[in-house]
Amino acid sequence: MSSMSFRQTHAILADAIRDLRAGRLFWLALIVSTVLPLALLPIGINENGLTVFHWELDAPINTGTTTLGNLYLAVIAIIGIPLWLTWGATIVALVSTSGMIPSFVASGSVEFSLAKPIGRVRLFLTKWAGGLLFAAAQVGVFCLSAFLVVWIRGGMFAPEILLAIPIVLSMFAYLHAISALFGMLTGSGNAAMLMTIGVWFALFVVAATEASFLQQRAQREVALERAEEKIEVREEFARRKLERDGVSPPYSREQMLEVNPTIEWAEDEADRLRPAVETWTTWHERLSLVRAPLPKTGETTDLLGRWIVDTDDAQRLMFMGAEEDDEIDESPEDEDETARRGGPTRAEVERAVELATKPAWWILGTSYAFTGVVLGICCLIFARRDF
Amino acid sequence: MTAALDLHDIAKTFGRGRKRVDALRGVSLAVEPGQIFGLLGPNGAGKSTLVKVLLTVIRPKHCNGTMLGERIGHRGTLARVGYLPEHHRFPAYQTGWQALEYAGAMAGVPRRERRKRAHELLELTRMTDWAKHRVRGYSKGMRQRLGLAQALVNNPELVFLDEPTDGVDPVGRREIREALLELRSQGKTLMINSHLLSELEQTCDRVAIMLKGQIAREGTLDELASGQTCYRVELATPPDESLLEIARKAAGPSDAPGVRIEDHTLLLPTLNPAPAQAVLRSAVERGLTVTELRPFRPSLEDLFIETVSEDSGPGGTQGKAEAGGAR
Repeated sequence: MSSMSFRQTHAILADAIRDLRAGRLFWLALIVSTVLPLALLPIGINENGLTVFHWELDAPINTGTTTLGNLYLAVIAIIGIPLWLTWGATIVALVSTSGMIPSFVASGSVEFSLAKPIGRVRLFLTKWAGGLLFAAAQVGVFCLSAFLVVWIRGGMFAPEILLAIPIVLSMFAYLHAISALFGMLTGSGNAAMLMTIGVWFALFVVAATEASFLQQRAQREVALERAEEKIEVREEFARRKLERDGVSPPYSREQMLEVNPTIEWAEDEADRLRPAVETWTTWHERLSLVRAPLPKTGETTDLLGRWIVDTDDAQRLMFMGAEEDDEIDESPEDEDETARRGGPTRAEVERAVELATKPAWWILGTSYAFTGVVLGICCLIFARRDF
Repeated sequence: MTAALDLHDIAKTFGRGRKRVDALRGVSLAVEPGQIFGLLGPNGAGKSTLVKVLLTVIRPKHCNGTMLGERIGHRGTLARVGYLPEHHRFPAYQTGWQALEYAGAMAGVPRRERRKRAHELLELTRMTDWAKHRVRGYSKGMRQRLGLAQALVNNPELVFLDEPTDGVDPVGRREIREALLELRSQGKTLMINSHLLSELEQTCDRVAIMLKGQIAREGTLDELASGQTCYRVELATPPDESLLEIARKAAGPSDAPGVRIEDHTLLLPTLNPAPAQAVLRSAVERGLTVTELRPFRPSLEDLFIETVSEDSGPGGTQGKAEAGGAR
């Protein structure tokens, strides 16, 4: 980078920081991001359970297997990152940054930058990157604060917490690109913010619908599998009965149905389920295809669960290990019984497994590609517009 | 010597179909280095559009020519150019100092140099006391002074000023005028768009009047006023034919046809005082009362109004539409 390019980039980013620092929301969000992990400091554990300052709480925590560091990490992974960083701080960041591009491209303002020796594409992309600094500051402060709390107070060195910085920043980048596009098109920060939140909600709905389709498919597949097992069991029963009755194989279908008419019921059930499986599979595949090029905000932040701490494990570690009776059966024989006990059904487990096994490169790659396309459109508009 | 600006056939069209507006229709212009060049015209004549084309803010339909010896649109050349846009808006969160820092850095000026320049320019524009205050608290005049300072922060060879005295009080206008003359004495070339014709008249070496996206007239003030300068001999009663004959003889054969009477005034088409003296003597001898005797040179405003009046088309209204189309 030439010295002139460096000066220009530095000036644009420094100006973006000035812009962000001028808003009260920035400081408010920064304070919350710093204080939230610090709020864990009074919490501790002893042989009787959870403690807050010098009070002991009657909490169902497995103090035998849970360390304070694990507890902190779990709270950060279950509450801090998903609720604050991926929702609260992201919304605050969108509110704060959605006006950046519209005010930058406004007539009377943009001329100051356009009449300088800098290419329009570089100018726009640097300005856009300046908006990311808001989210970077929030997530950076939060993660650093959390890392220090877990390390110093919890006694656990967990640098993987810092992985939240690129992950949350990636998710914000998708939304910030959408916000920049709407900002370019409408020239209004408020409109850009509302439309971006609308798109975010739509992405959430599409992802939830895909997950729902996947569960429907999984439920039918499990039911079909069970119906086919029933057919096998009942046919085996019929074969044994015919064998006991002295009939020599091979047995005809009529002979088996005569001995056990319930085979036909199971076959009817399987025949009824097969088209349903096909239908749900088709719909799920279609929706997956639609979703493929879209940014995966939820799945991106779910990577935190994979890389930092498995939230299910964390929950089990913290609250489920205190009493043996509450243990989840990993391979339930009886779906109804498992559901009654509040545990996941087999279909839910299969759905969760399929969603959780999507490769990170696919989740991030397709989302980055979407962001790249949106930014490309923004650059095209910015480069060709007369101001 | 290479012209600071040498423009040929610059054209710009906004919109398409029925909404199409030809904002610039083949503008050709030359500005020599070290000149203050005034660009005037009614609202929407294309003045701002022309400057924006030169500074790559607007993309032209056709554009031939050079700026500081490089083709128009050459990005590196913009580091040697300053620009004060019309109706400019500094970000409200910036202080005056930060606005200058930003402008300097974007023009590629090294940190130490731009700080030095910023101090000098704040002093020049009398904004030093306000340098650390946010722009949102500035008056219009203060923003204009800051705008002028940011246009000069990179020590440019060529400066475009679009309505530089807009919103500035008379004292401030005078200071800006003096600053412009000082810049010219430093060898800088200035192109000024302004509606304040008296300001331009006092500072510009050459002017061009734009109408409907074209240069209608261009030259020095003397060149533009040639043929309209005269001596006016105003009498208490209408002059008679004999005085007209005396005036024609005194004016000489070349100027005689231009001698004429308008109401109580005898007009001699020359700034030479001798014929006027002869007419004065003759009038006194005849017992006529001379109420006024003065040389007359049309003001820039007169020339402007005359040019606009000659063009009876609705140029102004077209221009407004063009200004809107520049979004």
